[in-house]
Amino acid sequence: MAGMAYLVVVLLILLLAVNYQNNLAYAVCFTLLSLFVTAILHTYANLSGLKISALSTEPAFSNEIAYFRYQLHSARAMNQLTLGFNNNAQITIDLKKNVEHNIEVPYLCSRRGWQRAELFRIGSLYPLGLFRAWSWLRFDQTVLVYPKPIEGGQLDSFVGRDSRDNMALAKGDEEFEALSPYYPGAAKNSIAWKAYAKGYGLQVKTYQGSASDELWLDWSLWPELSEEQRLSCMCYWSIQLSQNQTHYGLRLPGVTFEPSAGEKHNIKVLEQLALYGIEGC
Amino acid sequence: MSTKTPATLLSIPSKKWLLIMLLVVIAPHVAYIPLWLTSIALCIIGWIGISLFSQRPELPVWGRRLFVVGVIAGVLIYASMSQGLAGLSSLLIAGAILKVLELRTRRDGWVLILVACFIAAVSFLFDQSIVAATYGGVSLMTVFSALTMMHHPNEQRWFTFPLKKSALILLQSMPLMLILFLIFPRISPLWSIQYNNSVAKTGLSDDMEPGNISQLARSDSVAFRVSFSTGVPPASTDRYWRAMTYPIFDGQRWSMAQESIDKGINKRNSEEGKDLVEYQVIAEPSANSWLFALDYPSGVPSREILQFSDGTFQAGSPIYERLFYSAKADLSGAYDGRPLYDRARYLSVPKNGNPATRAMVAKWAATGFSPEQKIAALLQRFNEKFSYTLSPQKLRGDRIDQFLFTTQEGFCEHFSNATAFALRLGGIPTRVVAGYLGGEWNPYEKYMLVRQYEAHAWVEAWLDGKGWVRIDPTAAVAPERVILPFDQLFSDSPEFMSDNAFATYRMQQSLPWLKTWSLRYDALNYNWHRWVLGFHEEQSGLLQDWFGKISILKMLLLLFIPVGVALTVVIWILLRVPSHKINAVDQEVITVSAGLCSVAPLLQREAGETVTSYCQRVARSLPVLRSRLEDWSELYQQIRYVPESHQIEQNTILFLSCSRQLKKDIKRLKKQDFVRGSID
Repeated sequence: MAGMAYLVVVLLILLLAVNYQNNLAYAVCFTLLSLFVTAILHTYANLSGLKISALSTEPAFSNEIAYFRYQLHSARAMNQLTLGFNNNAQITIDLKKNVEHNIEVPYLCSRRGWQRAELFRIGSLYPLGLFRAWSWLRFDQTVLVYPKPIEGGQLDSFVGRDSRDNMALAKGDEEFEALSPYYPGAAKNSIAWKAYAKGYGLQVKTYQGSASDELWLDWSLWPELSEEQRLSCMCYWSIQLSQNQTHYGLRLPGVTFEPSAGEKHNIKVLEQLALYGIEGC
Repeated sequence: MSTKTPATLLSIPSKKWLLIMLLVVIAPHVAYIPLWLTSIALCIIGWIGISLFSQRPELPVWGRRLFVVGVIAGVLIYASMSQGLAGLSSLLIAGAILKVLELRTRRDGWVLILVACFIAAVSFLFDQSIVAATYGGVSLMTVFSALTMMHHPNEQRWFTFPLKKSALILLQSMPLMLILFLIFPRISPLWSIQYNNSVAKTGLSDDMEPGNISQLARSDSVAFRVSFSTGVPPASTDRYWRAMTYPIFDGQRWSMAQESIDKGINKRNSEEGKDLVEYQVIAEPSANSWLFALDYPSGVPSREILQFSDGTFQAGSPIYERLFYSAKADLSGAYDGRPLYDRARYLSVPKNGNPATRAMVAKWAATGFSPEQKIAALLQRFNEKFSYTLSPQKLRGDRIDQFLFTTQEGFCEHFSNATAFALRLGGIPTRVVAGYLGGEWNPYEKYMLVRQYEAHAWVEAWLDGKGWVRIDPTAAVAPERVILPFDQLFSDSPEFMSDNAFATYRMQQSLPWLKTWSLRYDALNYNWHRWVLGFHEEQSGLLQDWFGKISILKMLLLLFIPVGVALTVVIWILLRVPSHKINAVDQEVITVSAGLCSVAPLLQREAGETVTSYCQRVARSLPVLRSRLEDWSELYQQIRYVPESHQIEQNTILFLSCSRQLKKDIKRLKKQDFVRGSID
């Protein structure tokens, strides 16, 4: 649009120049016209030679924004590159020459499961806004989308521990079972600091809760809810329970995870929930 | 476009730039738009500018509307009353200024930018000097800086960054612009427009009453410029430029008559053709149609110029633009044998008045003077008793009597007035000629500059067998007026000095280099007028000189080849990857590797292979080089990894010499290899 309006003004100036036989007005007209042409080259050069590589992604929850990560590199400085998926927020970035820039392009996930990266567009209006240079990009890239955590459904065995504070107390009832080697993501309060101080390295305390204390996120717990709602609730509880270092297990039709605690377990459970009933899992 | 772009808001730096741009673009118009508009513009730009730095309460909506309506009404009234371009420029400026009030989105910015482009172009209709053109370049640069800023919200270097970028883009566009300027066909105006701007006062008028020319004698503005085909100016006594003749005399005033268009003169011109001076004139806009012919005129080759039977030239319409024409003159003024038509017109005088003059002429007749003797008697009288001054006493009653017998002082008008009257009384057909006498020769560009203060009046008398003969009575009383430049002649007289226009002249007299520079500056101006402002006159001739006969194919080639070349160069510059500077030591490694590669491809250094392991590998296949390679790689290690500065320089020298040896060895090896290969 801007480009068209610009051309109209150029034409008006040309009319002025012709009618007044004014060679300087001709000069202005031709300057604007040449600039129009040069701007094409500048805008093209502002995108040409850009290297984009896809980086690994992190899982996101459904109805939330997942970030696809890319690394941009160019041998020339590039300005005001705008990237983004259709109907999603666009991000704008300036590139310095020969510097790797990592960017995260937001994408609003609508369904759980594997989300493929859609076509996304990189473009630039720089420098004069007369033209847009753009390119569509498709990467073979996926992000795992967990179900949207929805609070709801009663966890039967949880009745009686109506508050989360109580849950922390409840942990004391559990019997200390063994020390296992530290794994990333282990809750801080489960680390055996005393053992660490004695020079045994980082160990994580694992507890053996009594059988009655064990929680199961069971497919059949909430028959009144639809499948997706059940998955959402299970997702919610999985996050809650693992935050409280509670042992819990997962029972889905065809899949059973023995009760355990910790971040690793949580992720395993969430992945299972994300991919439940989806082909190829 | 496939996606809708949401309204992008303008950043503060881009608003700043838009305001700067408006100030710069509007500045040249200040002289032409009404004062109230200028003050409103300054107020609004100032207000918005301040509100960028600190939050100010905005005007209430109704107040703003009232204001907008007021400004629009004012401008419309002004535009309808003023004629031509001042109205146009104030409309544009008012529009831009009101747009500033609602400067929010990028779209608003675009509107401002486009209007600013147009305002910048319109300013050239007022002023086309070199200074104005340079300023126009600067304003275009600010326009594109603002545009760049709108698309690149760079907060840190908000001033320098867009300036550099826009200068770069403009510079890269220049070749293309010049090509377009050169070859774009200049069409004649689509509809006729007249505008009365920048018209200089002339030193001449349609009629002459003593007193008129004296006031105009002091304007130093340029009347016209002339170049001669021979490159040599005529002698200073021959520089009479005729503009018009006054054959009609009513006792007080000499005025022009309806002259018929002369068609025969061109024919005559081709028949004789001896001692003709061919010259080209660039006449400045004068709002009059008369032009300038070197005495004695001998035909106008330019088609649009009218030639009249009294030997004057006129343009078809009043001159509002610089006008180019060429003509020829016969300096000797040989009589072409044409009879005098309408002799009575050139003899008519009022029946009464100026009795003393009548008595003097009657005495000549009684003595039996021939026409030549009468003229000589009058001129001698002037020469003996009269003085030349720019500020003579006022004349009353019988003005000619008073001049001839009482005051006996005056300037060209007085003398030619009295001469023409006396000669008519004596029965000699006479007319007064108005024009210019003199001209300053510019040796740098070889043209003559004639200024308004060189306006002059003289007399032509018809002598049987000789035709019209030029008589300059002023030359009789003040021969130096003819020989010396006008400015030099009057530089001492107080009335001349008092004038501002000549202050510069006096300075030039005391500082000779200033004179040189002013000549050079005018030479520059001349070229500017001729090649830039008057390019539409020169274009076809120039293109033909360069490329021969013009055809459409040639024009297209002319357009696309240079445009293609220019654009290729620009894109090459844009896409060029700035190369890393490679260390001299590393460069040697690359050269050696390339040399070994030419011996055997396998010997090329692989990516990521260290120099040491590379050398070992090469030494294995070429044992001849082992010791040298070891030295070489050892030195390389020393230079690269031992951080001792004083050793490094020495080692580098050693390394380079070693590497030279190595390259020689490699070359020798290659030759042997080649020989062996050919024997096999």
